Amino acid sequence: MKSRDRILARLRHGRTASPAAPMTPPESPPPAVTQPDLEPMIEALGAAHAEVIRIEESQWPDRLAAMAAERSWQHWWVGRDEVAQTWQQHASAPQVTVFDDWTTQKDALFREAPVALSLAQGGIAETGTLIVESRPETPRTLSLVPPVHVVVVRERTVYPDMAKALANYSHSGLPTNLIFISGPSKTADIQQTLAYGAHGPKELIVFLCR
Amino acid sequence: MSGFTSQPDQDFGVRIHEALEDAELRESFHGAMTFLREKRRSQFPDPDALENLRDSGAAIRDRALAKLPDLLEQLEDRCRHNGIQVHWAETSDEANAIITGLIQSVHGQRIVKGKSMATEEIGLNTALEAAGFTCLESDMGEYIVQQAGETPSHIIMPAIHRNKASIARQFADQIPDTPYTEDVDELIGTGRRVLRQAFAHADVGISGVNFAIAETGTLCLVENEGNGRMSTTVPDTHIAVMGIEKVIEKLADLPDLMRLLPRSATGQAITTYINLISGPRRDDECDGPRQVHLVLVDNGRSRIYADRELRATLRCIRCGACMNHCPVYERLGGHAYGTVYPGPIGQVVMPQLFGLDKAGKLTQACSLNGACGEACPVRIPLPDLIRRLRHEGVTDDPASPVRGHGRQRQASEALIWRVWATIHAHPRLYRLVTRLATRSRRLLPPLPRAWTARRARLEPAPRSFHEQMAQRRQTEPRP
Repeated sequence: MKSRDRILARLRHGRTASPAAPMTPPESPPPAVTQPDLEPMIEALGAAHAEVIRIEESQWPDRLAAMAAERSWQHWWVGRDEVAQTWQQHASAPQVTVFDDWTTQKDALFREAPVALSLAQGGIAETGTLIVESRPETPRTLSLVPPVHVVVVRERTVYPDMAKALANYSHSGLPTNLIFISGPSKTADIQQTLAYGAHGPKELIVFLCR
Repeated sequence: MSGFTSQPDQDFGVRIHEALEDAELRESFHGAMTFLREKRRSQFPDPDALENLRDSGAAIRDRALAKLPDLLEQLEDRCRHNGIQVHWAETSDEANAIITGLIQSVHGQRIVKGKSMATEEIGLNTALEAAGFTCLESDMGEYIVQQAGETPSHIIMPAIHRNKASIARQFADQIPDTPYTEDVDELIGTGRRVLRQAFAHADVGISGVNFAIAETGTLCLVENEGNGRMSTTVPDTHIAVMGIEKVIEKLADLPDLMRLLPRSATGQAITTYINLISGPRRDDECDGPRQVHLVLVDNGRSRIYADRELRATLRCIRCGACMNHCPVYERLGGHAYGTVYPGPIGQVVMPQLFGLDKAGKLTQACSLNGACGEACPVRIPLPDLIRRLRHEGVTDDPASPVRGHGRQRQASEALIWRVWATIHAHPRLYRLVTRLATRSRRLLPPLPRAWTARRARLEPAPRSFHEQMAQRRQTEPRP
């Protein structure tokens, strides 16, 4: 008999020999249907050291161009999503690398990609969370490797809480990698002192678009 | 001393004394535990809401355990469907052999690992070294601990026993071109620099799993640093290692557990990253691992499962709240236990994994104050389980389900308790003995040094309670 079958047989035998009635879960109130309040999202992201800019959707490229000039962000790494296309066509003519070939671009991604720009598929208001799916047009590492990550998220894609966000995927199926991001990378592993940019982005800038 | 041992009982007393004498260590743990308890408290301002959430968390984990064999089969089926290859290991050795074989099959050279208690439990790093591989720990705390040749002292914050000065010395000594600095941002920057190199060139990434969702065939990993994402995304091969109890039934079970885990562990409302992996890179995707493997490890869990009461051990979500609230753990730190899982959950898990003959003494390092049971987000009755294991340690019942049962039994102690029980079951005998004890109180033999070394000598009162009450009744008229 293989290990698998022996493990399962032991579990089944144990369950039969020593049955226990499972605990009854608490009665949960029916979910309230409410438009998510975005204030908690902005507050939570801010508390997690992210920068949130609430803006009309048509306005973010201009604002980003202004920020780029201020902070000397010169070289952008993008995927092939909508915001990448919008940004490439912006009047400020930003220098953009389209990241779509892992084999040839991986070294450069780690060595020299300073700022990533991408679209998040949604948000969670309660915890200040961005929902980022792996997609052909959105590489997984774009939101991870560059030290600065700029994210565009639309207000109408924000769910009130994680339960509602996940319920959506129960129907449609999950992408190969679904990532919830709630701030820049951080650690408190040295004497409980918080430090940002442990392994992922040090800065997370969120354009929350109407 | 900071290594894990398969005989935790051996020298447990010595390790306890060393820990208690180490002022720096005690300061580190006192500071860290106070900090973590305060942070957790601030995340649960409403006690009723907390209790409801704990009910829900316990019920979710309990339901998963009630269906455990079926959910494991479903998980295997859904994972295979998603392109994740599933392997089963009965023992640590088998798990290590499977992982080593997988690395050899892809000609892996450079291996990075995200934080994982399951791989600590099976001793993966040692096994890989024996097979000629080096596995670099990439969680900042684990990296510090591995570089120093130590083991983690806390399941969530592995380097909690270290202060920044000692880490600054270590980095300056061991990492080329690194000046001594106690600036934490700079220290983390140094770790980031070294580990980025490792991520960029790694061909195998190993990780643990916080929860596996049977319904969808999804692995859920929770973290703040991003090293878990790096380890599971950048290398071509991802190997996830998980204890069989970590499966949950549905995606809809996840939100409540996510409300409990980060709050209980580090007092955060949510971690920076929640990483849900449901398959390797698809053909139309740019990056991600080409192979994803899941190694399901039993290692004694199916034996724990067979006892209705002890089964609750398997509800654990490894948040560490029990140790953060344990007054014994706070004073000893994690290394004194000599085990992968220290503190209250370790005192319950380890004797069951190793046997009461090898780890039964761990259950004595507890004052039964109950703080762990009150903190546990999934309501594991830890004090009850510790008491149960103490009983199994001294029982002479051959039907006891726990390995090494009865091996903590001492004839002298058993005799003392038998005498004690006899005296308390016979009122006349009780009165006689208390009378004798109070009259000859200065002549009684001294208590063992283990008691008197740090405490005042105990002496019976001049008259027993019964005598005092009788006397009071005579002198004071009833109201």
